[in-house]
Parts: sequence; C-alpha cells; structure tokens
Amino acid sequence: MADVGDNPMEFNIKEEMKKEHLITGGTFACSGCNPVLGIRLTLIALGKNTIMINSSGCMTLTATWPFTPYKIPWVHGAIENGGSVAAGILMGLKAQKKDKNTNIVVYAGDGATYDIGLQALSGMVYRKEKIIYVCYNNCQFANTGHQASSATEKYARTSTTPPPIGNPLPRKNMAKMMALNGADYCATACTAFPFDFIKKIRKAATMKGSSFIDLLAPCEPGWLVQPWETLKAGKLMVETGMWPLYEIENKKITINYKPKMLPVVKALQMQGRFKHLTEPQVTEIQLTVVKEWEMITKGRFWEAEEY
Amino acid sequence: MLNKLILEKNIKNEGKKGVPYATEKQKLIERANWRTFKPVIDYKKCIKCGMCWLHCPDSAYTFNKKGFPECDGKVCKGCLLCVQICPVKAISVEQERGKK
Repeated sequence: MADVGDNPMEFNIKEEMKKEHLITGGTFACSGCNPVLGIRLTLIALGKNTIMINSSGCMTLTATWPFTPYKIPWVHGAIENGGSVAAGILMGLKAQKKDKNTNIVVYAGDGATYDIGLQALSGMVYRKEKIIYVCYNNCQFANTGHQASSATEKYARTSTTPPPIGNPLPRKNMAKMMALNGADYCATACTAFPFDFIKKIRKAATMKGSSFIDLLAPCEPGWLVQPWETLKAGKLMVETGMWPLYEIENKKITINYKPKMLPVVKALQMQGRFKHLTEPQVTEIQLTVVKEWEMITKGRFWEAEEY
Repeated sequence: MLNKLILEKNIKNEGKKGVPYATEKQKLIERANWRTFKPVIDYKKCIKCGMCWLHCPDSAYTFNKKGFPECDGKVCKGCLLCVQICPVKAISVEQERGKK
C-alpha cells in the first residue's frame, strides 16, 4: 500500500491536515454538494498514487476542459462502462508491471451503478479485478434533472414520480447483490460518517479482488434540503435505520454503527422530497425499516423470501 | 478555437506523459459570487480539531503556520457545513450580499 503509512487502518487527522488538497476548490458542484466531499474523503484515504475513473454523472462536471481540480490522473468513461474502463487500465498497468502500488478507483453515481452501468460492474466483480468501486448514491439521476432511479426510496418525490403517489417501488440492495456476485469486500457508508468511510476505503485497498462501497451522499437540490442541512440529512438517514452501515466480507456481515433507531418521521420531515407523505405511508416505511433491521441483526440477512 | 483559448488563458499542462495535471501555479476558478453567507472563524474558541477541513466539500480550508484553519474566500461557496459541524461553535455566519 502506497501513501497510507505504517498502519493503513489508522486515520491520524493531524498528519493528514499537513498534506495538500488532492482536489482543489472552484468546481461546478452545487454549494453543500456531498458527492464532491466523497471524492475528497476517497483521495484523503488513498493518497496520491491513485487513478480515478468517472462514469458520466454530476461529478463529470468537476473537470471541464481546459480546467481540472484534480491533482491525480482522472479518466472520464461513458455512463455504462465504468467497470470496463477500470479493468482496461488495470490490464495496461499489469503489462507495464506498475499495478502493485497504484489504487484504481471508480467513482460513479447511482444511475451509473444501479441502472445503466450494472453489466460492466457485474463483469468487473465476476472477473475479480483489483478495483475499488465507489458508488455515490444520491438516490436519483441528479445530473439530468432528478429523475427516479432504482436507488430511489419508496414514496420519494422525483421529477418522473411526482406527488401524491411518489416512487412506487422500493430500492435495490446493491451491496448484497455484489457480495453474492463474488466481490471480496462490500460495504455501505455515508458522508456524514467520514471516519467510517475512510476506514472502509483503506480496507478495500488491501483486498486482492474487487470491492464495492455504496456511499450515501445527500444531494441538496434533489432532496430539497438547505445546503447546510445535507450532512444532518445523511446523519438522520443512518440514525433512523433507513440506511444501515455494514460491511460484508466472505459473506459475513458486520454492523459498523448501531443507530439510535429514532422514528423515521424525523428523517422524512427534513427532506422536501418526502413532504407529501400521508400517515399510513410513513407507518409502512417505519415497519419495513424495523423488519430490515431484524433481518440483519438476527442473522437472516441472506434469506430472500421476506424481501 | 480551443488552442486559442489555451494561449489566451496561459494554461500549462505540467503532467507527465500526457496526463493532465493541476498545479499550484494554475489559478483556481473563483466561486465567490455564488455565495450569500460567509463563515467567520473565532480563533479564541478554535481547538484545531480539523473537522471543518475534513467536511468542506470545496477544499476551502487550509492551515496557517500556527495550525489554525483559514477559509479561502475565493473558492468558498458559502454552504455553511463547517458552521454546522464545528464541535465548539467557533465559526459564525456573516451575510455578504442581499442586505437590506
């Protein structure tokens, strides 16, 4: 492992503060954008010896020709082939015998991971390429105008699923899907828990095969929250149990953070995309959250019939 | 037309083997006109924990020689996440535009 120190799992903030920013400011991202924060945390965790591959999405707009905020190599692939571009770069590095100290990270949105780029990701995981795939999940196609994706929560408002009905379908469980597909390390994370995320990224970099991290990154215009409320919105999603933080290694699930299990209303009230919800709908969301947590904590995570 | 733009803006590609590379010499694009509110740090209360530096999406925070954080006014977009996250509430808000 390069650029990470003696013990890669330990995160010493005082040491990291002395280093330069690997992504500078002045990007086209919205104020209070959490996906950009995700890039920063990824680069803080991995250091300078990193190649970042980006599938089309909001984060493509960070580097617009002729300007770039990145101080690392950055590649923009099409929306559907983030995994394949990364695999190609890894093959090239292997041919030059330079792959040992280089981290290859794919940073793609939830549209490019859950929907459009699923076949490239699935192929990458199946071939066990040594690549870290980070999905910044803002629960919608935010770049094209906040359409619903398969990562959108049930009853959430998007531009294609307007109120009073909202999104009629629940979201996919991507980390579980990739774990069953053969990924060495799968995890969920949230930008409101940066130390947890950095630890997971560093752990993923030590794996021999591919790893997948699903990062919940609140989107200010998409979730209809104020710019300064984005981190709080993410934190409440975790604290209410709507976004469990866990990691899967060799099909063993470990819960990294035990939430306070606040009522889901607290998380839903804050976000403008859930403002149209009626009481029975809120109760239904609460019941599914409780059920999901029972499945995880009682060791029945891999059972399929209750989903 | 693109070549002309490069000449006009005096952009240098200092990467190795054709990899584009941002350097300190290259000027940052200013985003100060996006901002309505501005964070102001009270150095008497600051405990140098670095949480503002860690949570800033726009990499606006750097540290001076004494180890205190400084907010770069050129790239700060005024999202005020640092105000929310500060554990000792050392950062206050100042309105920059839209004053009555």
